[in-house]
Amino acid sequence: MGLYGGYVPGFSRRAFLGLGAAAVGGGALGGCSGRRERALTVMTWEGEFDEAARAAAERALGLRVTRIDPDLTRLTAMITAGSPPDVVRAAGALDTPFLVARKLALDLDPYLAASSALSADDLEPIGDVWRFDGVKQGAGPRYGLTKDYSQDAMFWCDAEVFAAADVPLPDAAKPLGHEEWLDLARRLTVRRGGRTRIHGLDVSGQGMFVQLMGATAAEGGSVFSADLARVDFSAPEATAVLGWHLAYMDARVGFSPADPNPDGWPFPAFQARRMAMATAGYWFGALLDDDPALARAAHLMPAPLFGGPRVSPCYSGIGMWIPRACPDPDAAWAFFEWYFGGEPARERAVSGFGLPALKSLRSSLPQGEEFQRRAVAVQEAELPYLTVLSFTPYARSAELEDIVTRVLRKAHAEGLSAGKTADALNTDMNAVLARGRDLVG
Amino acid sequence: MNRLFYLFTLPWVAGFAGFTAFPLGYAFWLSLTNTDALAPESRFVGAANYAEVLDDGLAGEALVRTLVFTAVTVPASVAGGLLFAVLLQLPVRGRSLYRAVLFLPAVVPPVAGALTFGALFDRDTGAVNVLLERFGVAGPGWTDGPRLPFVIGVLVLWGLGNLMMVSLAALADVPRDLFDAARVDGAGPLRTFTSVTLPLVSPVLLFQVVTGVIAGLQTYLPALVLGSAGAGGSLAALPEGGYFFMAHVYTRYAVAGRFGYASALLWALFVVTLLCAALMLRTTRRHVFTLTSPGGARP
Repeated sequence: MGLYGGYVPGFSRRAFLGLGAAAVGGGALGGCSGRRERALTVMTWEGEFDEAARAAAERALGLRVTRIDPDLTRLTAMITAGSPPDVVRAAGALDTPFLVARKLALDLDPYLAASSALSADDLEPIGDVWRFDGVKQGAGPRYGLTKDYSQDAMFWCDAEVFAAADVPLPDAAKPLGHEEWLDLARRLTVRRGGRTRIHGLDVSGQGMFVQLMGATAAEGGSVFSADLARVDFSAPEATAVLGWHLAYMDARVGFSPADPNPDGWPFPAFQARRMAMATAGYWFGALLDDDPALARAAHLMPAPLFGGPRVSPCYSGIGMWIPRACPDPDAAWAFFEWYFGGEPARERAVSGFGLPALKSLRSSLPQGEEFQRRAVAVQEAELPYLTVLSFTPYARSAELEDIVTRVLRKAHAEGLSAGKTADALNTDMNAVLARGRDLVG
Repeated sequence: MNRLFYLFTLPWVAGFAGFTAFPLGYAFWLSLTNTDALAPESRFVGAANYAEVLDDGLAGEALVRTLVFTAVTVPASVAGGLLFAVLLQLPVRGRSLYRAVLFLPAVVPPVAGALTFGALFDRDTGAVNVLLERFGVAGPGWTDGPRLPFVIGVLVLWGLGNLMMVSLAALADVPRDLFDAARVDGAGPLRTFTSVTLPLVSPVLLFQVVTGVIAGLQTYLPALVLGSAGAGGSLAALPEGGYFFMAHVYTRYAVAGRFGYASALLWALFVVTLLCAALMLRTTRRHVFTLTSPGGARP
């Protein structure tokens, strides 16, 4: 085996990157190994584990707890240096297969089976986004837990914007068809000169790749092949969905790769009463608490129908995983029991920032206000349609999102057909997936 | 004396070794591998990453975009800075105030400047399009498409106050008697400028151009803030017009997690930068005025 393209004997990734990690102080990053006292490093955002929560964790677990921000480079350096964080934040729906394929995440089934604080029976079906058997997500061992979730293809309507346009509000008990949805968006969009005063609809808030993935499932197809090693946007279902999204972009009714949202997410425009319909799940409602007028007008709606079965997926399923290299997984699991089954879980459920991942907490959702009761009722009716979509283990979602954004923008600018757009997506994405497959074997 | 030299230069040399030479060498080593974020193995791939750079259409487009942007903004900035410096030498009232006003944008933090421009040029809510609408013109999307380099260019020119200050210092160094001699010889203001002022400040202008080109080739921050922070900081949403070469490097690194390939891209840019600098120094040798002593040696 030659040097070019061949494995170098004794040239391990750990030894190789260890030099760099050491050089940049990787050994001092404060991970699991080399501790003199029991300590826990949690890699997550402060918004989800603030200083008060960190102090509460220390009291509850009797450990020193450190929080660090999620950072791919830092995580790579820490794992390479043999000092990974004890628990790491991730999106179960998108990251689980990737983590499993790279043999990074610890199988949590034995811990869950032995736990008295958490029970597999109490986990909502969303917990399955953290399961992966090598070819299917939602089956096989469990590699993480979800903290909270939403069914992200649902959308919110601003009833006052509808009224101002003299357009009747959709029936929350009956999902809209996708053509009807786009037609509504056209009627609700208000433009003056080159400026858009009211956006009829936004479907870009969660990212365009997952939007295409979810809509293709609702059309009855899948963007990924059965072995998750390729994408096929040329399949009739995926091409139909691409055609709808190109029409959405051409209609300029909302934000898209061609008209990026300057705020990066739909809530600011929705809050400013400049957006009639915003694709977002139940969690969006928690943002309405401080704005009674907006809350009165906000209505949660079921995920729209495309041409296939009624599905309502979750595109993130934020939670945490434990690295396999963590030398004290018992301490990490103790943190899991506290964070996912203890007081923090109850506090999250009461806040309404997403649905709790435990069945026992579902009744804790806020229902003090009329808009909250309305949203919970719609959400309860939507739950049976929750679907776990399989994501590929061979690429990070951000890389696929990068390609979708670039290709859709070009397709819009050059007026490409859905078929040609599908070809471009297939070419670029399959090259990335092939490289990813080559990396993990 | 030798010891004193080594003592004072040691911190810099150590810093250079630790923070420049080692990272450069390490990045070069990475560029010869397929190192990927969180991948279980890395493999030596020889020059494969460099071959891919040559075959990478996005990298090529980004490099051309960067070169064109640099070729437009650097001469414009240097010429603008010199023009303001010359104008500020005229005996006008409130000259100090004008100098301060013209310099002020240069001290605004780049991120703050870019955010301000982002707000001004926002398609739906920006003041520029509101103003255009008053005149019946439908304002375009300035920061979300191919017009982004124009906005970044304006932003760069807005901050040419620092170049103006350097040119002012250079102009102050031109001996007054040369102007008097030119006037005695019958030279007008334009001839005096082209035959006396310009040659004497040319070393400073060359310095500005060389450092400007180096900075221009690495342009990234304004595009990120204007084009991507505008989309919630998502690198995937960076508009085509703001997709400069460094943006490509960063997306390969941070979005794709391809540490090895991104290192190869960085080394390619490093070589391009060195070539540009060498080319400029070589081609301007005959046009840049250098003071020499009567014997021919530099004073």
